[in-house]
Amino acid sequence: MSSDHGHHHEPGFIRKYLFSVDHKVIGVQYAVTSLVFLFIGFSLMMIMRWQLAYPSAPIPFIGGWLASAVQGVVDKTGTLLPEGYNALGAMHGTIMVFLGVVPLAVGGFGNYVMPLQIGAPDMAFPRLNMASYWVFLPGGIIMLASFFVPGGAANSGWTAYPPLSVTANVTGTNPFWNGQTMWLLGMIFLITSSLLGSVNFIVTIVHLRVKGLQLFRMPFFVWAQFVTAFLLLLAFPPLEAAGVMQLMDRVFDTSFFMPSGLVVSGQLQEYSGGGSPLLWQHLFWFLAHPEVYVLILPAIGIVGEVIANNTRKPLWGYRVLVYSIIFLGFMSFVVWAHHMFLTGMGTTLSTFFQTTTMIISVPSVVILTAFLLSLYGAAIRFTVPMLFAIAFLPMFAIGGLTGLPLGLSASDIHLHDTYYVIGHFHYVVAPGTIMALFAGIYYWFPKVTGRKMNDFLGKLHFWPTLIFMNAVFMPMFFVGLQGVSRRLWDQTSYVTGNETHNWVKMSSWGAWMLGLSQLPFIINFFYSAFAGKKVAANPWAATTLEWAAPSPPPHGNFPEVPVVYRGPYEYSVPGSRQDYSPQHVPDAKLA
Amino acid sequence: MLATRYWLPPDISSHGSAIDNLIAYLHVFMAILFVGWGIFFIYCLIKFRARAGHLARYDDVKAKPSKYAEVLVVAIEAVLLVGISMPVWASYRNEPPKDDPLIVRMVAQQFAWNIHYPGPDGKFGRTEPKLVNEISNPIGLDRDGDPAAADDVVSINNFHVPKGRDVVVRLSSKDVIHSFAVPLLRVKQDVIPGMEIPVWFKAVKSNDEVREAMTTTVALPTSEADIEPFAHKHRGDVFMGDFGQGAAGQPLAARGGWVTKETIAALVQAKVVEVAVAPKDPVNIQCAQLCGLGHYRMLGQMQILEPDAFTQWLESQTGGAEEFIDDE
Amino acid sequence: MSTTATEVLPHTLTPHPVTGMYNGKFGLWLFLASEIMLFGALFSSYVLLRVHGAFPHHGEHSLSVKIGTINTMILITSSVTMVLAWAAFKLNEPGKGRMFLAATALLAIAFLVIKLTLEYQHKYHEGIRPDTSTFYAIYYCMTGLHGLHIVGGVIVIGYFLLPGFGMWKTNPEQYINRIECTGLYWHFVDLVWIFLFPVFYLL
Repeated sequence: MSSDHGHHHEPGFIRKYLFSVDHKVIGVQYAVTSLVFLFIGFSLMMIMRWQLAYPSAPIPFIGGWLASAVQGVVDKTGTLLPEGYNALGAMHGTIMVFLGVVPLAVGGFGNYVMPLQIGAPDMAFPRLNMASYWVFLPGGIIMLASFFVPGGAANSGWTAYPPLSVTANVTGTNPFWNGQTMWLLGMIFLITSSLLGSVNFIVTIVHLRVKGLQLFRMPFFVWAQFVTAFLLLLAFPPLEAAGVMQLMDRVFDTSFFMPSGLVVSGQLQEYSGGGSPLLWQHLFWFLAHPEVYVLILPAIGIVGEVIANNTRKPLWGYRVLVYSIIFLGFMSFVVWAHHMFLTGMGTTLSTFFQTTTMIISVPSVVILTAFLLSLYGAAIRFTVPMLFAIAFLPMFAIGGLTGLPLGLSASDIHLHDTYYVIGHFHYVVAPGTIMALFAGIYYWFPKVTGRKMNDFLGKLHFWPTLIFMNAVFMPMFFVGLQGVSRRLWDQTSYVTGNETHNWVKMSSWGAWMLGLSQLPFIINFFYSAFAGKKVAANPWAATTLEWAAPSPPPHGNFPEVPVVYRGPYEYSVPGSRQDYSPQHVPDAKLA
Repeated sequence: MLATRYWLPPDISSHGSAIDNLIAYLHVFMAILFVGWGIFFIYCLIKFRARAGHLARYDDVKAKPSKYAEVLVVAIEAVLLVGISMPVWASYRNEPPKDDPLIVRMVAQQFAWNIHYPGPDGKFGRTEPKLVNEISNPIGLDRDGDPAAADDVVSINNFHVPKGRDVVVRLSSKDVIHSFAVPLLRVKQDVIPGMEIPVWFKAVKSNDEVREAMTTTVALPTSEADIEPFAHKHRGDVFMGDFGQGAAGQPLAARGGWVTKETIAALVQAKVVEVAVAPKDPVNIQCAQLCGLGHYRMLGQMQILEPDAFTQWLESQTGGAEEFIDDE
Repeated sequence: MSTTATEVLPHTLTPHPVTGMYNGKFGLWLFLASEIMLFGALFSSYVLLRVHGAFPHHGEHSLSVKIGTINTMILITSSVTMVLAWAAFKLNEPGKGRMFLAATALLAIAFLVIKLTLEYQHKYHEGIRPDTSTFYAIYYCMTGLHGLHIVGGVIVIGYFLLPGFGMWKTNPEQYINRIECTGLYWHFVDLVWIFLFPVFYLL
């Protein structure tokens, strides 16, 4: 398994950078790949927002190129087609969640930082780690390639509800060579990659911690990755099962999700029938609800790290935080049908799921409150990572709070499938998770590269990003309260859609400005990687173990295996010489 | 005037106020939490910023107030859940109106709403997927084989209902999942193929009343170039009065007439400054579940009529499969 | 080779004091947990579809209980040979171990051949395919997925029998662990069949 370590010959380029088993290389591979996917997914939305703001107007600059390069997205004048709008929408969601945020948060940050934070030389299964990346990448490529097949990419939403998803994208004679089937195949790759990774994370965290690193001395980031890994391990398989069943419905004409007697476009469908569209929804949401906690938990972990480091005091209520995050993970498995309130659900089921949904809001509130209380009595350093971590707090609050009207079925009657939902979840993921991920990038960049990112460019990135995130998503609540439906190519034919159109324009301009605001980050990222200010092992004066390794750490991470003597956030310990006491330094050497 | 609250659209249903109240209470609750957190947040950012001579404190601050606040939060959520949401949901799902409701079937399809009335005999004729003909018989009604079908009425996209009477809609779909949503009636229900799901409501205002209440006065464009966008923006509207005067003394824009580019141009030329307009069909039916490329144009219209007008309308329909698509 | 060279990563071989397992075994149990969720989701789907009325129960299906029973016996026997293989290696009897590994693989292949020819192929000739009815859809789906898992197991056993057998000489402790993990997987696949058989053939 790790017999490579016994030999000291330098591996060639391919073994070192491409097919490496080193968790740090794999982490960077995941991070860079997912950042590219995030950029692509965001670009899809920037195109959609043109149609929303200026319905039926040809897309400027790239309309012509789109018409020639891709099928089924724009018409020959370069105007977005309704089916193209649906395809971009479905792929935006899929790419952002499965190819962007989760691979970055778990595959990128988790892979790179977690083993360092527990003092391990690598993951428990380095080759499995490599395999999981190389299964992820083809999955992503299949997803992107689906834009170029007959009929274009999947266009039934990232939720892929049958019977629409089974009857859609059926142009052409080859049952495999179409967008929806490729979406399903791509998902199978991505789910497999995720399963391989989650096994690795759990075994590593439980087995590979160094001496002295008891569970309740682990950094909160490691706890977050730990719970996340369980969610991925246990929640994804039902979607894999559902994906196989939908594939069979599409390719082999089975009727898992297809009821009898369907008449599509005037044609009576020849399915054996008897299937249930609701079966898909239950299986899908059984994964997809824990999935959204997969989206937020690593971010919460990162925010915890950055706050502790930049308040120069321990996180408030470490144990409370740990119990809350475990409880949150557990509860996330029993709330899924709050996405299905309007499917004809009666009082028993809806009461159950409303109750569990209300209960799950408690640990979220506790975690947010604990972070806020961590600011009390602090000595706050407004470094660039801290700016993002601080901004996360009110943004996550808005996202979480707006989940309440959706989680109660009576108010959900009016708000279900409206822009209110889009506003809610984007607040959690975009000004929430993504800003936390930025905090993590700025924070751990020096560890990965040995250089700091530029502070001025960082602030130039932060402030416009914060402002424009709100400009894009806050108006959506107003549009949603008016009852405007989601996924509409043109909202203005509806009275309420027409009246709220100015908000829509504001969101669109906000989105384009948000895109521009990322330029300082992109420049900073690449410039600093090569020419940024060089720093030593611990530029942030942090306590956790990753900062004990050199920057960047060598193969095997720690020249000497560390031993842990104290908790993860021993900052400003009364009577100590410095305002931080690293985990690996014995008491004698501190005082 | 129609009451609107906190960015909610007008509520013209009999059951909607409970939903609106819940939404309002929730948002007040959310605002209190957010502002409370926010004040503490800003206070900390300012008071505890790092500066010369200022040190962080190591001990955990005892956070009794926040523990009480957390308990209060849970209590309020419980009250909202048990006190409002559960009863509202129960009556929304479990208690169909018993007082002589109008019962209709609605068959959703890509991309239209087919409304099926049982006719004077009160019985729905049999429908059969094999009999579906998209042009002449979209719901597959067995007019020849089933005597109960002879007096049935089928209308498309325009859902006529009487004001002030309970309406029960038995929803089904021909092809994919749709969702019957009428925001102004606070009604939404997924329409799932293979299932028939009922939903009910009572409209307390007619289309005419809603239109009157939604009337706004808008300034006409001053330049040529703005006429087209103005007309496009108001393409679903009608004039709510007579405006301008033509050569023979007739109004350039008559009450109830569509807002068109030509009429606007004529009014602008006649130096008319402003007009009163309102949506012709102010109570829209939306599809609230992605159903394909035509999802955005699954626009239906509620036609809420005074009881007599409704009876007149129903009687005027034949048992044939005439289409009532409002073409603009 | 020395144990230090093979255990740069802690607990590759030595069990962890708290979990009592070496890394691979813990990892495999976690993998099995996810497999339980996978097959559990499919079994739940079967239940939901059946309760929903997707397939009438009586007379609808004509699965041969005889063939199913034979296959069940074959698979149970293969689980026994799998354990015997691991025991043989642990007792330092690689010859016997390889023999039992080969027996396991052969029994698995027999299972697959019977399934493919006497069941699937036979049904196809009768015109009974996945699209014939939803019962057969889920039958083919679940037994097919189970069959794929058996194929996977055969490949792994084949690997340790032939090209991977070199590890017995270089690192016997790790080789035994891998056989143990393979056995765990194999018992799970057998267990899934123990549930599949009554659900589809008997109930």
